[in-house]
Amino acid sequence: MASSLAPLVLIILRRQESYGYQIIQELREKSGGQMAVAEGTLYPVLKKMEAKKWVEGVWKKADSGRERRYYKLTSNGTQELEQQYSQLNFVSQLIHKLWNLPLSTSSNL
Amino acid sequence: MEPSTFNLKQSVDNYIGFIKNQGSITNSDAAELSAHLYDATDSLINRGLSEEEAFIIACKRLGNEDVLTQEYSKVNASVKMNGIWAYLIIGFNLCYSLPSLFLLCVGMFYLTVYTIYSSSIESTLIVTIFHLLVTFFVFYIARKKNEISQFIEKQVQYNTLRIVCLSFIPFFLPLLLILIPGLRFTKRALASP
Repeated sequence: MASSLAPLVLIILRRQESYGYQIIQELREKSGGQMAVAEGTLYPVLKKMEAKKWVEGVWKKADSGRERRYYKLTSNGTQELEQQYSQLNFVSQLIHKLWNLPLSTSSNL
Repeated sequence: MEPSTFNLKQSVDNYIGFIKNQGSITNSDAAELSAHLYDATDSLINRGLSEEEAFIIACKRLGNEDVLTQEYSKVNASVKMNGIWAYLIIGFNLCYSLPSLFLLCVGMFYLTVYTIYSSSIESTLIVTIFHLLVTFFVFYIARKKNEISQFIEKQVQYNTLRIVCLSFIPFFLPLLLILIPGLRFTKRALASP
């Protein structure tokens, strides 16, 4: 699950910078609560993306006085996202086409 | 109904501390996970749960220490390595410097006793009592071994660089002897350990 998180997180960060809990909330909401992932595993994913310079993390203090680490997409990250997006789209269309092929019956053979 | 004795900050610290003890997350990771637990607990409280219930669910959603340690160890390979090297350096420094420091002090003590009392009954008595005290001290250290190792472990976890630097200090303590005025045997004692 963790590996498929990366493109999803990049897509969320494309719109605005965000922090871990907010990203998880968005995933949970948009997936209709179907996204069953240990929330904490998001952070190693973010960290890996930060090491690859796809995102940039900064500690910021919220109004409540609580510190949160905000992540935003870098230009590298935008490029990476575009690549992954077209790749995933390609795979998804291919899966769709293959899935919709008629099932073979013995008469076809 | 009894009043709730639940303390959110302490519970969060405990839970994150537990994950931290597995040795694959940094201070910054721990702060990030703590912030997540607080946010998650808050939002569940807003939905009508008690603080304790909210905290339990937030932890469950965050994931247990096995999952998190496994995922973090893929990105934080150096945390564990740094810890091992810190222990090696601290261990070498302490095993090397503390015994030599101890021998130096003992030498100075014997010399002082000898200069004042020469080889009389008093000096024998003083040295015997000193030996007894040292024996008790060794037993005391042995009894406190848990506290000592926990202290070092905590220091390595929370501020590795500081404890490694501090462990070099005993090497330089003998230099302080030069500063003590009127210490006639300084040069001899320093030359002999």
